[in-house]
Amino acid sequence: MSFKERLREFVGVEVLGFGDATRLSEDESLISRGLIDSLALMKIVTFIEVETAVHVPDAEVIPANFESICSIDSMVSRLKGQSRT
Amino acid sequence: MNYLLWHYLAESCSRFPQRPAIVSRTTVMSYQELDDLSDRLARVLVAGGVTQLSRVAIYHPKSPKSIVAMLGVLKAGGVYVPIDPKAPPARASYILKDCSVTALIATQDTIDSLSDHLGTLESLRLVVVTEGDPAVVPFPAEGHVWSWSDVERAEAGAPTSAGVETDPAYILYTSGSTGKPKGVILSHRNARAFVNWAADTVGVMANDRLSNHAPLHFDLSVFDIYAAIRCGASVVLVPDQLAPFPFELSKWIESERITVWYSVPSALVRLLLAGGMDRFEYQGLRAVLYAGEPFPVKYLRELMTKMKHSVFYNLYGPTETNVCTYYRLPRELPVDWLDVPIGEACSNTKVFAVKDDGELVSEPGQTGELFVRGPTVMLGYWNLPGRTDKALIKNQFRSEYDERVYRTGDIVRLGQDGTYTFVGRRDSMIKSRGYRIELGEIEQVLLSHEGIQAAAVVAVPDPEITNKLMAFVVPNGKAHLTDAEVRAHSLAHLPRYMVPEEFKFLDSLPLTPTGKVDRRSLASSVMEVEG
Repeated sequence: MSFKERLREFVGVEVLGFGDATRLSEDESLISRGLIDSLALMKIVTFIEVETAVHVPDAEVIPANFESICSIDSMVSRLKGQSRT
Repeated sequence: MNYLLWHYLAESCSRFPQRPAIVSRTTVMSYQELDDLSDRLARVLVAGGVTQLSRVAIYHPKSPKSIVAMLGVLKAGGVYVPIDPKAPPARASYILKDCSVTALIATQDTIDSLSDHLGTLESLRLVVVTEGDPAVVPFPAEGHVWSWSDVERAEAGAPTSAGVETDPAYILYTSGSTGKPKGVILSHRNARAFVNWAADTVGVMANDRLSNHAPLHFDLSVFDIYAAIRCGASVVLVPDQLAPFPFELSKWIESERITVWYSVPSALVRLLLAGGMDRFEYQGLRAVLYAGEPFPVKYLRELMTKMKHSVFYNLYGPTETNVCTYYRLPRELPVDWLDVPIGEACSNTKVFAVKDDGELVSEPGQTGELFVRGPTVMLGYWNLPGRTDKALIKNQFRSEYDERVYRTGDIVRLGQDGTYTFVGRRDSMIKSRGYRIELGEIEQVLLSHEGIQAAAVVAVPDPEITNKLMAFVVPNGKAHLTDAEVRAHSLAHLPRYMVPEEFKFLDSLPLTPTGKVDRRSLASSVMEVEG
C-alpha cells in the first residue's frame, strides 16, 4: 500500500470516522468543507511523521498543504526530496 | 433604558453608526448595518410565528450572519440556541427537538445534514436559509421558508418586544452525564452582568479589536461579541479554515491588529508550540484572556515572554454562571508556581467554598466546593427541573432569605492572599481543550451500539489539552467489533472533542471490591504504558 493510500485510510477511518476509507476521495477538500479541525490536524501531522520519518516544519502546516489527500501527499513528497538534498 | 442584551447594539449604533462592528475574512459590517439587518430579521421571525420566549436555533457556520441571527432573535423577543455547526446531525436534531424550536436559521448545507435525522419537528414554523436554495428545504411541513434576500428586503425597524431583563436570552447545550446534552438557560441579565464586569475590567474601548476564536455555542464567545458591541469596538471572527493552523493564526493576530484575545489555553499552547511566534512582536495586543481549563504554567510563562505587551487574565466559571472569578497575572510568574489561581470573585458576584463538614472555608490552605451567587447565575436547565434543583440550591448561609446559589462541583483551595485555586472535580466531569465533558455521556453513546456490552471512559492527564480520553470497551459475545466501527459510531453521535483517542477492547471491565468499575486501575494501566 502506498503512503497516499495509507494516508487516505487513516484520514477516512481514524480521523473522520467514515468506517470505510473509500468514502473519502483523494481530491475531497478537507479544509473548505470544514472536515479538519485542530484535533484532526494534529493527528494527521503525527501520522505523517511516524509513517514517513519526515519532519513537517510548523511553516508547512498551512491550509494549502492540507487541502486534500493529494495535497498532503505532494507536500510529503516535496519534504522527502528536500531531506535527501 | 438599557437593560436587554441587544440594547448594547442600539446604544453603540447611535454613537458609532459607521464603525466596524463585525469583521470577517470577506465582510466588514458596520454598527448601522448590523442594527438594520437584525431589525429586519426580527421582523421576519415575528411574522413567521416567533413570539416572546420562542426558541430559535442557529445551526450555522460562524459568520457575520450568525451574529445578525443572534441579535435578530433577541430583538424578536426570542431565545436563541446556537448549535455547533460541526456537531453530528443526530446531536443537533436532539437539541432542536429537546427545546422545541419555533424557528431555525441555517444554511442549505446544515439543513441537508439534518434530513435523515430530524423526522418531524412539530414545533417548527419557520426556516431562514442564509445560504443556498430555500426551495429545496424539506421542512417545516406547515409554515414558511425565507431566504436571506427576503430578510434584506423585509420591513426596517425592530418590532416592539416587551421583554424584561430576567427573561431567557439564549440556551447553551453542554455535555450531560445521563447521556444527552443539557441546555443551560441564561437570561439577558445573566449575560449583561458578566459583560459589564468584563468590559470594564479589561477596559474595552471603541478602538479595540476583539478576536472571536471560540465557537458561538461555547460561552467564551459571549465576551467577544457582547463586550465589543457594548463598547462600539470590533469583533474580528477567526476564519474557520484558519483556526486549526497555528502558524497562520499567529500571523492573523498580527495582521488583523487584534488588541484583545480570548480563548481556551490549549489554543494558545498550540500557538506557542507551532505558531512560529518569534516572527511577530504583538505590540498592539494589550490583553490576553483565557478560560475553560488550567493553563500549564511552563507554557504560560513562555507565552508571556512572546506576548510581552499584554496583560494576562485567567477567567473561571462554568457555563451556568458565566465567569465568576478572575485573576490578573503578575508580569513575572513566581518561579515556584505550579498552577495559576482562579482568583477572586468578579464584582457583582460572590463566591464561597464549603468544606465536607458543611462549614465555610475560612482559613488559607483549606479546601471545599465552590458556590456562586449573584446576577450571573443561570435561570436553570432547559426542561430538567430535577437537575436544576440539584445545581441551584438554597443558600444555607443566608437562610432568612430564599436565595438560590449555584453549586459548581469544583473543589478549590483558599490561598494566603484570599484567592482560590482550582484543585479538582467532585464528579466525573472533566475538561479537555476547554470543553467540559461528562464521561457518562460518552459511555452511554458507546453502550447504545448493539455490539457493546460494557464501556468505561477514563481521562488521562495531558500537558497540552488537559486530558486525553481513553475508552475501554467490552464487546458482547457474538459481536466482531472493530476499532473503525466503534470510532465511526462515536463520531456519528458525539462532537469530535468527545470522541476518545483510543478504544481498547477487553473481555470484562475491572471492578472494585464494592463492584463498581475500577476507573483508577483503567487510567493507571494507560499511564503505565505511556510512561
